[in-house]
Amino acid sequence: MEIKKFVKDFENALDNVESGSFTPETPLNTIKQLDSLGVLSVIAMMHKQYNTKIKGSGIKNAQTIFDLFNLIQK
Amino acid sequence: MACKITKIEYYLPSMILDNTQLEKEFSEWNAAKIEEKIGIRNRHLAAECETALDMAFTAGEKLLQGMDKQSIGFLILCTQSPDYFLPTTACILQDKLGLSRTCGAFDFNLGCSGFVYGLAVAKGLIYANITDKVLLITSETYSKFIHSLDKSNRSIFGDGAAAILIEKSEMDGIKEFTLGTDGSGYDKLIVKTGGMRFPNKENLTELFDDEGYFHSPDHLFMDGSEIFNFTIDVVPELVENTLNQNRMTKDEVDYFIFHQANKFILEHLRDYLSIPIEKFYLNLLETGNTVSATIPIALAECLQNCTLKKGDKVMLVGFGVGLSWGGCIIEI
Repeated sequence: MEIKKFVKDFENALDNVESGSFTPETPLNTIKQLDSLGVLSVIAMMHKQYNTKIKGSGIKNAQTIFDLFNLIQK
Repeated sequence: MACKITKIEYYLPSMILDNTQLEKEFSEWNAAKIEEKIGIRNRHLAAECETALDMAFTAGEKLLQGMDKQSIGFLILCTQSPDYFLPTTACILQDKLGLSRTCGAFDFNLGCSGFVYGLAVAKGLIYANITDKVLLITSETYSKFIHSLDKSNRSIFGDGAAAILIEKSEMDGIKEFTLGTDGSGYDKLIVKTGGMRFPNKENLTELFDDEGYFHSPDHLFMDGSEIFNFTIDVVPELVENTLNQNRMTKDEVDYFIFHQANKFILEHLRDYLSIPIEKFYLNLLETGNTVSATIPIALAECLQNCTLKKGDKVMLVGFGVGLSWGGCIIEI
């Protein structure tokens, strides 16, 4: 599975994010679009596109987009 | 032996909280964005002196208009905001509605799955020959549990009551059920204090956690991401099991009415389950999430605007606080 595609899907899941805004290393706490609805949008994206159910705490504990990607791999 | 739903009425309180008001109170909130994301523009709120009993009474009175009240053999009230710890609100309601003294009555405490559970109990009472006619009422005033600073829950929930008549019939109008529970998630949607476990209010002044999420034990708390996770975990399987239980395929279902939690959840579920948009109810624009009343309100609307016609097979799906869930098929 490709991290590049995941970052793109992550960007698409959030409102008002231009393509290429983030890298795998982008810290999640710097992403202002990741508010309560943003978190739900990311959970929904991971469920639909990757058939993965991520607990809210899984997202809260993740530091970067790459950490989220690793949750899918598990 | 069979039974069916023969009448539905509902009541929404007159006071309205709209998105513009929410935007005024919370500068970071945007009225248009609320509507776009959660599909809600207005919610009706019970007046300060108006309780779930009052709303249940109004809905019940509407339903009983022109009917022989003495023919009701059982009254079931679904509420999580009862007037008293005891007695059960349904007993007071029996008297207020002028139902017979031979009428059985009780409350049950469920939220968004409550209507489906109420139908299951009503069917059981009729099949066990305990009565021919059950009046099921769902009535909820979550607004009274919500803190004024809790913008998320204030945006989502509205108050409302619905009254549903279930009668013994020739036609099998209430088919098979799938029910489920996972109490390990009890604290994901909860009003923690005020019951016997934690009788005293904590009166906290710090109402937001480290991440800025509202959290008060004295008020309604909902862990939005965990509830969303629960929903996507449980509902697809619930739909499949309900189809299997009824020996039906998804294509044989004419219409799907899920608990109207919010637009975001419903659109994700519809998309994930590949349910055609024209067979899927989504309308909480003027009511918000009225907890156990959303499904009967939806049914009443669909019957009124002829979305549903005689013979249609409809899947009803409820899910939420408990955690609790239930699905069934009804025939119009």
